Amino acid sequence: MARKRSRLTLDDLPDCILPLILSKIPFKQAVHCSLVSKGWKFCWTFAKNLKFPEDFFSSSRSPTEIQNIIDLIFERHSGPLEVFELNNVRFCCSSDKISDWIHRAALKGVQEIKIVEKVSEIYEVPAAIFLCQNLRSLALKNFLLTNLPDGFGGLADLTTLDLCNVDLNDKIVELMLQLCPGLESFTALRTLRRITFLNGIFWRDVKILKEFPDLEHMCVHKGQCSDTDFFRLDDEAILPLENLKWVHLNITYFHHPVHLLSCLFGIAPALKTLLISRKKGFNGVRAQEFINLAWNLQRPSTETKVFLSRCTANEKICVDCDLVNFI
Amino acid sequence: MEGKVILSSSDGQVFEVDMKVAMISQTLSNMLKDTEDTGSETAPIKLANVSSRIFNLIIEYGKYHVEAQKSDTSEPTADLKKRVRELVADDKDTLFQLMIAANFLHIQSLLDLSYQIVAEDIAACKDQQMIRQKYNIENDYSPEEEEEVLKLHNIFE
Repeated sequence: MARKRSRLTLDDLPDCILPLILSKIPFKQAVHCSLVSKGWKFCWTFAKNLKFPEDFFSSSRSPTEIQNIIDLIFERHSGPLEVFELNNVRFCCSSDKISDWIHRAALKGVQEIKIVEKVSEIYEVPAAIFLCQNLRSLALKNFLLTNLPDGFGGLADLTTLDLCNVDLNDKIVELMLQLCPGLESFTALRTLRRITFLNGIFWRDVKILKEFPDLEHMCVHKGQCSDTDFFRLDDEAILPLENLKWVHLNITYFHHPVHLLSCLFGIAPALKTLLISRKKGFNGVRAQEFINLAWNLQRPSTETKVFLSRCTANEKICVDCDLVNFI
Repeated sequence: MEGKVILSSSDGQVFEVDMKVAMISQTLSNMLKDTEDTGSETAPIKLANVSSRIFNLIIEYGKYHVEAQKSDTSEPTADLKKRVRELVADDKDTLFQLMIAANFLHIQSLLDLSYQIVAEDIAACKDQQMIRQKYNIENDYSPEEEEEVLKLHNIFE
């Protein structure tokens, strides 16, 4: 059968279709497309994904230029946004600017945000992220998360939370889990490397530890707990935390300091540094004895060091077995 | 709903289609509900702007779609998209006709997949000339206008 072939072009499609197609093109190529013809001029403004790769920020442009470009994009962008991604942006853009963009993305119903920084532990997570009510997926790398915004009501749709090298504390973990019912429990946090237990009741959190196999750095800070809470580490049959290298305990009471050490050494075979900040003493055990006792224990390795420090508000003195300053 | 439904294409060919397959089209599903309500004898439903060639492809897609819903493959969308690509065999004309038919028949999943396919193909072009050539689009910018858009373009490059 001879087929009648009247070649169709994109222009023959119903009018509503072209913008829908163009909205699925990644932003960078969509900008390309605006050069094709008049009908395509604003096609990039429909792009659903705004991803700014690392080379966008590290190019020869000045910070002002970069900010103007992103401002311009948000100004002209029309329609909803699904994905917003920034890579290593913070060194050239202020946190206010970034928050402003996130706000705009939130108004466009953004569902997926990814912000990656190269340098760790300097920048606080922009609070605006927690106001993106349509957020389904959030990925952050190298941030501090010490506070959730006041009145944070949760993210009902959030299912994926990928925090890589984000310093955060137990309160936040707890709050996030409470307020984001869609989160698939802790599995979303498995990549966590650093955690700070802040004013927490530690024994409840001990179970959490087994959810973080990659944990490298643990800090228990001003906990209203005493060292007995750590003995549950044995009871809970927690698998060794193979990567845990750094532990800082700044807790109120040390009732059984030696038992504490053996528990910690037991779960952290790779422990390099244990820093203990004394608050109210070691239950009659003098620091010198404590260290002697600690030295008699089977340490994970000869590299393991125990530091004792006397903490006042502004001063932290670390003493490695030399206790002159301690007593 | 069980059974078969009889449909005829624009060139008069008659198709007997599984009800399950027909139901992926919102348009057909509405029509069938109407005829069910009135209890009238079902005469072939004429699809005035879908050729038999395209309709065959739609039925094929419908079968894949129904199958994909039953099985639990990990990447149902990626799998279906591959199937649609196979169906149209890299022929843009066929893809566009399929899109128009899917639009008429309200088959949202097929529409979404074909948008994605076109978007991927456009994104794979290395510059605007290649897109114009491939999709037979005339450059209707005047040199001045083109210069202006190019400026904007250069900001992002």
